[in-house]
Amino acid sequence: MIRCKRFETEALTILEKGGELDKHFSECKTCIEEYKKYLKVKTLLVSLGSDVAPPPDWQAPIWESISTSTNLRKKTIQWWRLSGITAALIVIAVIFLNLNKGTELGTISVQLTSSDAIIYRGITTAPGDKVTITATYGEHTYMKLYAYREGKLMFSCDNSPDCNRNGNTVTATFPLQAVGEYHIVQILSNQPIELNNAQLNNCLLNAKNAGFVVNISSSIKVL
Amino acid sequence: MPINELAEKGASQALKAKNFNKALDILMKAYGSDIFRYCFNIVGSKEDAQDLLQIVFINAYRDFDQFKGNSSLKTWIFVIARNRCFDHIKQHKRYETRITLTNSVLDVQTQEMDDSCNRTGKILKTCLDKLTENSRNAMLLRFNAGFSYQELSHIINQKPGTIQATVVRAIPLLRQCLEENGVTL
Repeated sequence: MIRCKRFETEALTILEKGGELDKHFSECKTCIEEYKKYLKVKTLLVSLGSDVAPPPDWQAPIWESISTSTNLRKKTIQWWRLSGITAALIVIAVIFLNLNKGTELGTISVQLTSSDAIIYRGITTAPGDKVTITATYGEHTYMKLYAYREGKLMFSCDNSPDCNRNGNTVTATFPLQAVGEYHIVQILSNQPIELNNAQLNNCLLNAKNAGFVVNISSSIKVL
Repeated sequence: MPINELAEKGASQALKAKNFNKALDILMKAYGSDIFRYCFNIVGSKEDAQDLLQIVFINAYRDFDQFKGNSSLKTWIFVIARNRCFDHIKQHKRYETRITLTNSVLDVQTQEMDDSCNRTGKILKTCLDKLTENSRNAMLLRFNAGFSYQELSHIINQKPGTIQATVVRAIPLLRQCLEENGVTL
């Protein structure tokens, strides 16, 4: 028996245009069956994700971002449309927690890159921008590089293929995907480094207690 | 007056008065859940959907001056949501674990699926993921978010007829995938 194909070839288009179906579609058993399936698929699609909802306080971080960046709109208008340069780099000032600065102790620098525009917003950037870390070992044997978002570990060179070592230097690049405040942390030592690194505060405290050298970038705000 | 119309009117008036905080507040209350659901259906993770939700509304706040009134504010915000969700997908593409269908048994490898989703919901989501990105997006915006083809043309930046043809082609594919995986229609 040849199965009627008119529902698929004609009726779907008519229905999606908001038109009325002709008599055939109320008499043809195959088409009636297909029509019921079409309605069921629509119902399933309508209900997809109906059991998920944002948390009750989801608006709070947005207001916080806006209130802590009062010039967000003006700054963006001023710089957002600059184009024609494929990549721009912003070198962010690095704060060294250790008092003994110098290349022999290892360094860390952080750069922000945007793919299609100069986006100069001080240490404020936007989702999708990339951060590139360049870190040196100095005279140390061991180094750890971590990135934290809102105090929680979001990137580690321990398990990332995005970290590359070339001699005394390690580079790593990854995107800043979510809104929030980021910190990059470098830990150096001549002993193997074992740390509880899940939380920024604990990581810093443990590293200091263990006598490791700790460098931390100034915060990067992604808005 | 329907809630959406009230929100559109209130937010538009607030924008005209340059009261951006009020406009944002109205839009978040009116469309926050819809945007979250759309992002969740696109990216498949509650955590990522929540991050995207924040990004969408911060971007909207930042770009309020660029709203020209050529579409509804809901449509305008969904354009932002669509762009941010697709940016997110592109950024995650290299880490993405593909979903495979082996002997008609759904084998969702590592894509995050919320436990609360029922089996049909999971199969539907997986079948949607089998469609092209354009088809999947059109189907979700048409049936899940409830946009007309005219509104969709603003969001997807295609002619209404083109989007309609995309949807009409995608419906049988989706139905077939659902049936092949044991969903009774």
